[in-house]
Amino acid sequence: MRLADWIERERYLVATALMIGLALPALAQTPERKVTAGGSCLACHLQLDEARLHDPAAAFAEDVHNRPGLGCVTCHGGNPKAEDPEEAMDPKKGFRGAPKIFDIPKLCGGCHANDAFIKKFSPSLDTDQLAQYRTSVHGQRIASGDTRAATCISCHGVHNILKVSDPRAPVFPTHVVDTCARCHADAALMKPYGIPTDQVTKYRRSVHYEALTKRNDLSAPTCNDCHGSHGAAPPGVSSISNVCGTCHLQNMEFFQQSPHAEPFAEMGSGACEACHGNHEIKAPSDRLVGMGKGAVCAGCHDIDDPGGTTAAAIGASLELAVEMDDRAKAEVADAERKGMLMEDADVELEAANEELVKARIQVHKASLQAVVAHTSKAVSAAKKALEAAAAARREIRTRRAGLSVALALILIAIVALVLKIRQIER
Amino acid sequence: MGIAKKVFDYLDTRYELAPVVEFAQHKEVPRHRFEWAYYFGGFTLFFFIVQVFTGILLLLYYRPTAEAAFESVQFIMTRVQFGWLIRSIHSWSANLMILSAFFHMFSVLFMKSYAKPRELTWWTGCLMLALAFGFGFSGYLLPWNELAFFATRVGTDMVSKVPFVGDWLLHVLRGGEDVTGATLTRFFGIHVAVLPMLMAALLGLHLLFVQRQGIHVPVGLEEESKKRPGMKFFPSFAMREAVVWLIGLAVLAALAAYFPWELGIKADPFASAPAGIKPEWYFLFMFETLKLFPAHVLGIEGELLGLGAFSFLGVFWFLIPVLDRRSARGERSPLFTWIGMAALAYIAGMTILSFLGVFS
Amino acid sequence: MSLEGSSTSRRGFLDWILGTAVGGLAASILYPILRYVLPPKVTEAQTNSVLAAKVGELPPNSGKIFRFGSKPGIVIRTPSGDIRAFTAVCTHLACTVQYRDDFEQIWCACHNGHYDLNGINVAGPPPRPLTPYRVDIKDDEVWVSKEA
Repeated sequence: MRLADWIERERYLVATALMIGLALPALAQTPERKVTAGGSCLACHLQLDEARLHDPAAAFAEDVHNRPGLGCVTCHGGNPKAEDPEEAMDPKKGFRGAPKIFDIPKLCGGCHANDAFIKKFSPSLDTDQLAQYRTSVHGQRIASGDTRAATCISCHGVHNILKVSDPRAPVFPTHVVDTCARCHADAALMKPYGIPTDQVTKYRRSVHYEALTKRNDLSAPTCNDCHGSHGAAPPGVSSISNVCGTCHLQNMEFFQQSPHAEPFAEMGSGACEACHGNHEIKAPSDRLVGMGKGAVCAGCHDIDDPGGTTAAAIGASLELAVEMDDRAKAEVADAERKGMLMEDADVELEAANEELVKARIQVHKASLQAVVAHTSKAVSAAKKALEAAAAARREIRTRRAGLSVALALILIAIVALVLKIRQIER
Repeated sequence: MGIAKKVFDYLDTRYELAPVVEFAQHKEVPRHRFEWAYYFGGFTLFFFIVQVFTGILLLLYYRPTAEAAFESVQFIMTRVQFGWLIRSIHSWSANLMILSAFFHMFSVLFMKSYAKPRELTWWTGCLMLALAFGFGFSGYLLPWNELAFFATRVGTDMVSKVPFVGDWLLHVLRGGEDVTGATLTRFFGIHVAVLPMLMAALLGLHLLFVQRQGIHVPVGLEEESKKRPGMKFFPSFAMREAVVWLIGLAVLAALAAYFPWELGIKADPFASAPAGIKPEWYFLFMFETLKLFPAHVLGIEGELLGLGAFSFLGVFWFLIPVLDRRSARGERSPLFTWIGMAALAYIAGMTILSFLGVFS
Repeated sequence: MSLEGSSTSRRGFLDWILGTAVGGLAASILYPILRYVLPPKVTEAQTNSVLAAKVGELPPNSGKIFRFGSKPGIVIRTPSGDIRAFTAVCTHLACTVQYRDDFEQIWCACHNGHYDLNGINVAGPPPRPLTPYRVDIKDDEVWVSKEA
């Protein structure tokens, strides 16, 4: 018996065993994670009623820095071994209290930019965050004395800092947009900087946001995937196609081969963005291509110029292939519903689909030839499927003809029988 | 001829066939202006025989599981030679059988042939009609396509409205909470074993009664039928019946040729029900009536009331031979003619209106 | 005499017509039934397993596309010699994947999607791994079946 079968059959037993197994360690220690570092700081602060003083200490239980060797003192200074509060929080003994906002990057960087130190805790963790941050718009604002700009804690939190991979973390992919939105969607806050605040709303309408939240594809890009995290800055116009190209590799590759690559580079204009937009990127449709309504080519090209002619031809070839494919799909489905064997037609339909998918990427080459190479294959596959559907219809007609012969025989028999009855009864 | 004679002699010496032959030779069918109504019973029988044969053929390839049922019907229709024909004929013949049974029943009703001493013939006939409905209902699900699945879900749900035992009945009928593969297996067993067995027994009795009692002549036509000599069952009536059967065969062939029964789309129990789910046409008049009932009437659930009404009418219909005293005495009984007319008008009217889309 | 003769011949003709029609009818009923009863070429409604390849045509570090009903499947032989099979329908936009011996990976040409030798999506747009099939080697034959 396979394990899976056994588990299926004995699922109650397995579930019980699992529950006991999970519960045992919990019984051995208190269910709540304890604050393991912090010494006397926590001993006092957890007893305090004032939320301002109590809550940070309580929140620290979940913090990634809550481990032996780290603790309150790492950021706040002071003496955690001292029993007397006066002595523990003596500024002369290095107690800092709440660090000033300008000091935070350096404070975090004190450890996180220290390769040797970080390696002790997390060997694979990068240590370039501070360096990157200093290049970011946020970092430069802070450096110039702007207290409203974001620092480490603006995104990562303060006393309950979680790993990026922790789904509860504000910097987990699905939460990044909310985290950035806290400032960037705030019109009052952004007013002095003269930057728009509708990016978040727009992004929430994009195909990327849908992939991230509806299809739960964590690899779908959110704010930081294009703008960077610690080195956050708007991507330069010339780098946009490279930003998009990190995921849409082939589209970028084909675009670079297209006649568009050079002029866009010369104009210093964001290539992908010109057709697809930026924050509100929708799932592309075939209507984007061509010179018709909703087509983006018409933005630059006239129908008379060679580019416009090519665009129109590319659009038309896609349209034709899609139309043929749709027709073939409908006819094959109809034949299948009628109970005809359409396996070969299904194979053709799949081939047509594949060629259409390929043709759509070739559009980025802006070459009619490249697109037609695939749309023509799609059309011929669709034609084969249509032929199969027509053959199925012919088969139905053949059956009809055969049954008509039987029908004729029956009618002759009926007439003969009626005559026979008359003859007998005469 | 020699061989036939020998076989007959062989059987005759062992089973004494002479009285049977004697009976057959003298069996007569009365003649009058409504004699054509006598052919519907045989017509129904013809479709039933077609069902038995095509049904057995379908059994060769059909698989009664949720995973394989649709595929096996698809297989029959696509891979098996002439499978499309067998399946199409089985489906069409089922419908024609019920249609023909309706004609038979109403002709018997209007001629008052159910009256004493033929009550048992009426009762076995009523039961066979119920069995035919059962055949239709259970068989509808077997291809496991979308329409059948949801129609069965709606249809079985009615059962749950029965007071006290409704939920239990629903459970038994569906083989679980919902319509699943378990329901399919159950319906398959009912369709190919339980119902055929009962049908065979009832059909045997029904035919035996008819043979034993001879054919009834309606009140008011006795004079006419006395004036005309009866029709010999062999060969005259039998040959005419053969003509009728051939017509049935022709209708089947024409329907299979011009309206081949479709396969549909495989049922997906988790998909939402498609719009316009309807049961087979012979349930439509009940289906639409139940939909017309208000949700609640005097605090009683409308559907329950509707089902109650139909149950009551069903029992009434069944008991007509007892209730119709005048016919039993050999008198005219216009009241029951009117009742029959009303029922016919209602059933036909609701069915036609439903097809015209009046209720949707 | 002539009248009687014509009547006899008419009767004979009618019998002949009747006999022929009924005989033809019987044949046109029995013939489909006979053909129906004979098992068809494909003897099973559901193909749960299919002969995908011969071991001989699969050298290490190679792959082959086969048909599983109307859907493509891919059987690969890893550089270390294992034979594995997956659906060949890319989980991104349903193109047919192929084996790339230079990458030693399964690869989709449409959007440059990569799957490792376990069918796991490792690069490019595919959102999910390829569904694996069961592989049985019978003599030289590679049989691939869907896990029930």
